[in-house]
Amino acid sequence: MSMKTSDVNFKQRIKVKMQDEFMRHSVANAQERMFNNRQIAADKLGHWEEWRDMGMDIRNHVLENLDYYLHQLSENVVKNGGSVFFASTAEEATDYIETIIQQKGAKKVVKSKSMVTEEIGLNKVIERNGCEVVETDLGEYILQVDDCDAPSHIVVPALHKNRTQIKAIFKDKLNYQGSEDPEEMTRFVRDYIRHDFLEADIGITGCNFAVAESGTVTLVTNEGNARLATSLPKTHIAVMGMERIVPTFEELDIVISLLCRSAVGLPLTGYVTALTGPREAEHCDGPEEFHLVIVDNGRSDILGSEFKDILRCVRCAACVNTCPAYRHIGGQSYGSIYSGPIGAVLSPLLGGYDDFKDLPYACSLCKSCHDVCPVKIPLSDLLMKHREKMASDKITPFSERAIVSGFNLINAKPLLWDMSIKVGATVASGLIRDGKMPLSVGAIKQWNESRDLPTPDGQSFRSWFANRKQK
Amino acid sequence: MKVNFFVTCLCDSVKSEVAKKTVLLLEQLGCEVLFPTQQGCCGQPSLNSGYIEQSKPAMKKLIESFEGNDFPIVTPAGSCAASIKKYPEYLVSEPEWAKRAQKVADRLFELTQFIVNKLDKVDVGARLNGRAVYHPSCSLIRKLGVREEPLKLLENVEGLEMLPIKNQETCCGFGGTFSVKMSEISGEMVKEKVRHISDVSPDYLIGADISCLINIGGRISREGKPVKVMHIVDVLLSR
Amino acid sequence: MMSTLKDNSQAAVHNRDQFLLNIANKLGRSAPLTQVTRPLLRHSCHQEVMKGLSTDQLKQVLQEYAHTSLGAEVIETTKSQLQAVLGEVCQRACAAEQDTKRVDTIFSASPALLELVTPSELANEQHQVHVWDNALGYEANITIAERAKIGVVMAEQALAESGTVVLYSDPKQGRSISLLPESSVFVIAKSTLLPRLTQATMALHNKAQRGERIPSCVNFISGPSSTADIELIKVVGVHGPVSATYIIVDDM
Repeated sequence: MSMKTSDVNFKQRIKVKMQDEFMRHSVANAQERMFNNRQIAADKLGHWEEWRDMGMDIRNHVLENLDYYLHQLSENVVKNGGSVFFASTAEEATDYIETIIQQKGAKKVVKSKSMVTEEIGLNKVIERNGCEVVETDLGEYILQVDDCDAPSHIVVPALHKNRTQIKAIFKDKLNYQGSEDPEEMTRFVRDYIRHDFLEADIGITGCNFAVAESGTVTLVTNEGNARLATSLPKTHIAVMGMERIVPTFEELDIVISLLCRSAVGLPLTGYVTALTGPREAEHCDGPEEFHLVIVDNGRSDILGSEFKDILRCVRCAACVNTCPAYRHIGGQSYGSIYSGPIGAVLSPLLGGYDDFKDLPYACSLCKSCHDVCPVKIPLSDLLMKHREKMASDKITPFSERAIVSGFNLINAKPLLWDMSIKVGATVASGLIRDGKMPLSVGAIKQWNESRDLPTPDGQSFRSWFANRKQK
Repeated sequence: MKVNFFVTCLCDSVKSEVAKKTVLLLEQLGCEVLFPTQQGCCGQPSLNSGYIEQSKPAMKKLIESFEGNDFPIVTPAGSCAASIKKYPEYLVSEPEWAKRAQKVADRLFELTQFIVNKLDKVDVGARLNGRAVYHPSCSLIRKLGVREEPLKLLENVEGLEMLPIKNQETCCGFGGTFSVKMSEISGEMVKEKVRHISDVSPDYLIGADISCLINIGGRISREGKPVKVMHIVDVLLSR
Repeated sequence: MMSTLKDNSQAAVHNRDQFLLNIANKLGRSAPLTQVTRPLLRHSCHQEVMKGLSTDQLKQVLQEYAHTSLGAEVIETTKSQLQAVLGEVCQRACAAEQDTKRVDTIFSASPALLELVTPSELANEQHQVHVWDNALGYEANITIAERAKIGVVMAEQALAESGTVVLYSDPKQGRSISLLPESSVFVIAKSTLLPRLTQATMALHNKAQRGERIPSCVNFISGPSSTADIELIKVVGVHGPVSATYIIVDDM
């Protein structure tokens, strides 16, 4: 799979998804719990705004000096015996990894959850070499087994599936004979793929944050699969979005503390694993070979644009967990592996407007995402910038541009405006009956889907005021 | 004191009662209300859809319309106030206009903000018996930072009991053009809002932003729920 | 295009120059930066957390958190009692085994641990005890660790706020000891208790500043493995260990 997850158009997609009662119920519950857990963790830590300030500062500093820190990181990785490949495009990244697969004659890869590897479409490339890829993160595993169903949340990718559905998938594809109890199914998966960890030739992970001063790659997980994938196979490949880096361990503390609380409401996840190079010569467990693949794939363009604030993102999904639009349409509606507010900003930037032009409009600009982002990304402002770009690039529908032109023309001429208001008030009082108009087209029709039109008060305000003045 | 009144297009055309009552309330509180007639719409229908460049002539006209004097400008709609407060940012490439926009933005107040912070009043002598839910619009709480002011005013309305609801601060789904462009999503958001409101069976729904009230009110009406929708100015003039 | 890799075992950097030049250009510069001054952090709230608390107070915080939020067992003991406590823990595991099936335990060869504990004395008919022996090599050690029910390791540090044990990989303490066996037992010297992540990362930062190589695997472990991927219901025990026991040695 690559970043794009659907060929169906946006409106069609959401129409279908909004009928999925379980998904909507599940998403609403999940949002409430994750939102609350985040708040509780933030309150317990205290001085949360100061933490957010520091998070924003650190991320901004890194972005402004990204060339320097990536250089430092790569020098340190090599010093410790690892290799670094700088990939400008998705294809360069997958080509490099494919070469390693081929050179090693690898038959099995175990993967820990990594969105950037999905973005670059890595699995397909590995598989075409006769090498099996096992997604070991439970949520990703469920989706993989279910014929590579698309993820619906950055942190909890199988959120849209209930236990009954999961049991059916396991029964159908893995001959699972047990109950739909989550614990039983989890134990089943543990046992089922245990041997994959032990047999795998290569472990592939993402990278939550790299540390430039030491050439370290940090993984933030709970299940233990990332530890297994990076300790047992002889080769470890870490794939990293180029902006996912901090200068030193001092800053790592801040961003990890923000990430764990914002994502899952915990001071730290079960495992925060800092990996530096392949294992030392004197050690006997750990990979003998380490490769860091640093991916651009459009990020440098973002860096040089008015959207650069989005690169501060730490992938916590706090914005997803507060967004009311996401709550009703679910993650798969976005047609991208990145959903919610972050997805609505990032997907058009990495994937273009052709496939993702609707996403920036799927937002009421309520700004609740601004309140929760640990690194203070002004998400709805960035969505507005997308709208601005699409308007000026004339990607918006002609009819809309015509109406807006008309509106602006009248609004810029006080006499015309004055007249329009008075006419508007009269027309509204004359035509709106029981919340409807005789002719229901366009915006009126769309409004009327779920709401009545307002009951007009009659005369325009300005007429009343003018008359009153005269008296 | 003298104040300018910014009516907003929705209040001017369809909900003039809110505008009238705002004027009456301000007069009751000792203000002389002026209405600069050259004023138009804050431009949200165009601005929110990203047509910033195109909106500039109208923005400039609006700024000009309020430059006749230096008195404060008061408006009964948070979203319109928030929109105008962004003019300096939109006009940043034209420094002279950005400066003028900033001057106007600095003089602009949402109604409850003005009453509580500028007129120093929290009790206007209102009386309304019943149980009410207050809807804080996103513009008010997140763009203007006006959270406490409406609550303080409502606290002092005799006979009025305020009820909390689930997800009180969640967006009602209006979002300007979002309500028609993405009417499917907007519809679900307003349905959820009305569900939470109905759960506490209030007599009134009170808000300080006419656009939210038109949205939620439109759904309440569609569902035939017995909740009276009132702008805060309606409440403050109740005796 | 892809770069031809001649020998994978040779550490190398590929395609860096153009990549970084592109970034520099996008940031409005004609060439990549060669020097940067890292700014001081704006606030110091992270250093204030549990500042001034004694190790005993930190121990209480750790105990409370590990017990209530992580479902981890916390045992307090002394140096002289450590052997006995470990014996009890292993004994419990043996008793829980059906049909007195054999139970293997793998111990870290950490000198600090072996100074206080003689693992072989815990062995009996049912209970087989192993000590990590680097010289045996990868295969042998992994086989033992995978068969083992319990892995006993010595913590580098422990973090009170998050109930976390910090482990540095070491030839004497393989990564697999705290990873493959179902149960993890962490021995923690009370004197190594720290308030939170801030102090542990500072130690690593200082190491890096001194030009020292950071251990290839530093783990911050908070309780047993878990997931909430199915209906957001927390399940303890996924791919990593299923249970965690913290043994705090008071006089260490």
